[in-house]
Amino acid sequence: MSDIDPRPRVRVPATAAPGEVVLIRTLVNHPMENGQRREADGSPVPRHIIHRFQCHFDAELVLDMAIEPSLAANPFIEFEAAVPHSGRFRFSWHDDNGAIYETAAEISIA
Amino acid sequence: MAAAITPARAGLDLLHNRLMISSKPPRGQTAYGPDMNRSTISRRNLLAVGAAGAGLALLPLAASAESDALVAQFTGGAPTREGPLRLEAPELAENGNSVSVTLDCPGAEAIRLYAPANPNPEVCTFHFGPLAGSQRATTRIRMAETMELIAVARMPDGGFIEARARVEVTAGGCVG
Repeated sequence: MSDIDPRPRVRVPATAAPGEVVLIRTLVNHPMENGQRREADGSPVPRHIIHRFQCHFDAELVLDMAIEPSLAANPFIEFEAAVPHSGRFRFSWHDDNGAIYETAAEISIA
Repeated sequence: MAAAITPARAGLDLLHNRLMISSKPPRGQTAYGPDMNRSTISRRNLLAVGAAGAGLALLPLAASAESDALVAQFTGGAPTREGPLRLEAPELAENGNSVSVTLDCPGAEAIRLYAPANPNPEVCTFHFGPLAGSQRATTRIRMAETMELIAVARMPDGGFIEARARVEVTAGGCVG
């Protein structure tokens, strides 16, 4: 479990016009072990996934995503956010093992 | 769906086995001699084929009952209607380990995606917050085999919209 190096990456424009809708892309490294696989000796590999992803702009919610084992490894998520003013996007990925991987990106109104 | 496939597969296997057996003459008989088994076998084969046919005929019905049950998990059994929900997925996916899917439904509160033939049919649910720039999102999913994906959107009026898209999968994902 501790061997995961999630390296969360997000692509957010540095600037936007007031009220502009911007495209956000996120990627995180994770095997998304779905609990269906077996080791060579036949023992089941336990489920270990990211089960939730959230994006906030300052205190307001942009996207809250519930995730099941059928999502592909290294979850990629693309969506759009409205930018009312300069602020900070915060992103979090919630691991089954209790870890929360976080990153943030500033955006300013040009 | 598995329950519907089973009689069909069992029937075909039975048919296959019977044909293999009947091509080899039983001990003490020549291949040219009177073969009393043959007529019995062909009658059984007929039954097997009949069972297989019945199984295949039931297949779409059983599949739709199962997918209806999945949709009901999200809708609570409320009916779904036509609407502006788009489920974009490739018609042909070479790698079931990673299939790009886009869900788009202007005004939706939430959209759920199902891959009904996966061991875990529920894939993900997007909840759009007040600062969502659109009710559109793209992600990559696992698909065990060729199937029809199902998306269901919950609208602010409490109604639900459903969309489906068939994806042909060449190599199934090692799957969720």
